[in-house]
Amino acid sequence: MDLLANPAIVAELSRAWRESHADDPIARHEEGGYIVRNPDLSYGVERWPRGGQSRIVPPSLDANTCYNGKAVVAAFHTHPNPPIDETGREWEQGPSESDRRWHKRRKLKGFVVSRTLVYQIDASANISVIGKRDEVLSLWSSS
Amino acid sequence: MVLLLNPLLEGLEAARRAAADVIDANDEVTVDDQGDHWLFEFIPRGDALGGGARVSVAKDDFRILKVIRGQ
Repeated sequence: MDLLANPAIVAELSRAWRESHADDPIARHEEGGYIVRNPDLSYGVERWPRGGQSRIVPPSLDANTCYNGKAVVAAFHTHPNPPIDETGREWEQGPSESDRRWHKRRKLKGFVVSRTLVYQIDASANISVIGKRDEVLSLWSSS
Repeated sequence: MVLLLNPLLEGLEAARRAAADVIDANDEVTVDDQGDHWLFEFIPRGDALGGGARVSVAKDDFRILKVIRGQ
């Protein structure tokens, strides 16, 4: 199942990106969420509490990888910092080592939305590029 | 008295100072010997995604060559 072919999921990724305020050096922060399977077998998104400038803490999952009683099939979060920020600091754009570790420990795939690209982390923590953010989230870019 | 410092530890402290805004004292640290410099990687422990940094430090004078912050 290609989760990013689901308009509802893509809309939530797009909303998380907008809410990250990537263009505001003071307000930029990480957002994220779990992609879950609803009781009617449709997919939904359970958003996480707002993160910090460069990290975010996902809510705990239960032993069955469920959250709020729903099976979690993937996670996503944003990387709002630019390659080089306004003060000259350089930021990794792709998944960090702690991102990879988090996904590997939970055997859970995920997506990272950055300024230019959307990355995928598989359950073994391998990283691939899905495509350009503007294109992957094109149907739901802010209007 | 002559005080001998471990160069690797001095390099580590330089790396810590250079990335102090994004690392934590409890972060896991790895080091990769790259010949003329060390590459230190700080990896946060716990359940957070992001954070940490990769810092390159010159061996000869402990100059900071590069800092890449994780997110």
